[in-house]
Amino acid sequence: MRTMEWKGRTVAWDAFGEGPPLVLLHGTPWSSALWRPIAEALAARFTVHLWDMPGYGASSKRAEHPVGLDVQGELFAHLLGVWGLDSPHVVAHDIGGAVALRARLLHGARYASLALVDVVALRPWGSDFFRLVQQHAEVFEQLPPAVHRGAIEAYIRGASHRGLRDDDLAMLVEPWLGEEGQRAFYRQIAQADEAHTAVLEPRLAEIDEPVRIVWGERDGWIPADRAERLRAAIPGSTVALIPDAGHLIQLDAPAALAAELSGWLERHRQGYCY
Amino acid sequence: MTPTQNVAPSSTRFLQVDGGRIVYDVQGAGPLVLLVPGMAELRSSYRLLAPALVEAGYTVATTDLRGHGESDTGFAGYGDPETAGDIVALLEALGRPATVVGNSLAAGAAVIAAADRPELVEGLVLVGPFVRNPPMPFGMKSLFHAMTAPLWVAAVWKAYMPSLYAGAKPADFAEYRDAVIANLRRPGYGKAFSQTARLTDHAPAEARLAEVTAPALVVMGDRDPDFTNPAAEAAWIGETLGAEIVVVPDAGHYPHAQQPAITTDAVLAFLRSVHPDA
Repeated sequence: MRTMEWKGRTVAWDAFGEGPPLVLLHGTPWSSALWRPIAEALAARFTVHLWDMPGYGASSKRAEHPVGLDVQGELFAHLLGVWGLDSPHVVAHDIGGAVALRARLLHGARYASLALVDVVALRPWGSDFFRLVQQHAEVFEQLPPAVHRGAIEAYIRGASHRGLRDDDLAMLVEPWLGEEGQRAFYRQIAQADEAHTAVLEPRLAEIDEPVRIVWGERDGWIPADRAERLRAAIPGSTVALIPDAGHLIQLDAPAALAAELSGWLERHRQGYCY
Repeated sequence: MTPTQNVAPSSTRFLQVDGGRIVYDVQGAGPLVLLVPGMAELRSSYRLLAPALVEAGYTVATTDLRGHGESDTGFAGYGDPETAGDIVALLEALGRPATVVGNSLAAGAAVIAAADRPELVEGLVLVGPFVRNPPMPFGMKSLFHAMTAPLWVAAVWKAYMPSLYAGAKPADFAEYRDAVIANLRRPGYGKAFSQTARLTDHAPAEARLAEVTAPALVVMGDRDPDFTNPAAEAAWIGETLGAEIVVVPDAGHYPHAQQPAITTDAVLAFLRSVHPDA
């Protein structure tokens, strides 16, 4: 991946393919690696942009840099400017949804279309695990590495409905291993703040771009009933539920998700309508 | 046996199997994907999918079913097990395992091949798949038998094709249909098609479903006229094989030609899960 600097942070990003611009946003505790197979499929018809939020994946994870949704939203709006994208198609997963919505509603970003996939947007979110970590972050940061690895593997497995393959699990766990990774994992949970989405909720009706809400029917982290609540909050938005898919929908239903996004994006390509 | 009269492009090869030759093309580099068309279709059925897979980094082999296109006629049988044998023979000739994409009856054949030779079939994509016999109302069988008589099967199929392509049609549909019908009018090919259609029986495929271990993807057009409820048939196959399902909007029996962007992206996402390092 390529890198750029922003307020002391190193942001890993990539762009490839041909066609109208498309940006994919990852969630937590994931990185752009989770999107890459679908990004590569879509790259035949779109110029696909991937990035890792600071504190995640291949981006810098330094203790002095806050990694909250407020920071990520501001950075995303900045990235669009650096990339020269006035109105890209945007596909966002998990907290990437909150980041895309913050950039849109608070930092002036505009999109050609917006697909929200199993997103964090409506309260309540987080989990008992989040609250436990928030109360004892410094304890978790000091767990023995083997215990940390076991905990994070169990945590990540819970996001999949179909069950994870060993190589996929390894891909997801890898950024959080080592001293820096372990600290970063608990730090990003400790800094998760519902106030950063609370400000969005009353303003969702301002969104006038085409919005598709995609949800894994078996999402055990953010239940699929949020899809309908979000649809009611965003005018003109529509919902697609993907069967047999959990929160890790990219791994539970890669082909169905690719087909859904492909069909959605094809309907909203510039100069293309039917 | 009817030798082909066509001038073949340079990548076109022929494989001798028991009873005749099977034609195939190979292009691209990377993990192997074998595309097998459905009954009456030609390997150009995959003209929109194949180049996209090549572009994405796969070796793509396409073939005509026995008794179809540039493959020979005059075989003793045209059933799913015979086509499965052709698939296995092609993979042996190509010398490596592949993900097999089978449309319609070729899906049943691909299931048998995957059950017979799991080491050769590393992934299965079943498109508009017949992996069991659809319930057929009384009298339909004899009607179908009459309609597929060699003498008028080309005319019947020409009239029937647009229904099978229910929903979005490829831009070059008229041209492609002409090619399919021209093939059926060639000496021997109408008879071979008639034999394929009349003797079609997917019980041998259904009997092998439980033996399939390869990861699988089911792609079904939401308007596929071959199934009373296409989504329900896809769900049943998905559950039986532990396969992922994609129901393609506004497509009939040939989603790879009718909704190429959606089908291509779904197949590519599936292939990446079969080949994480590709």
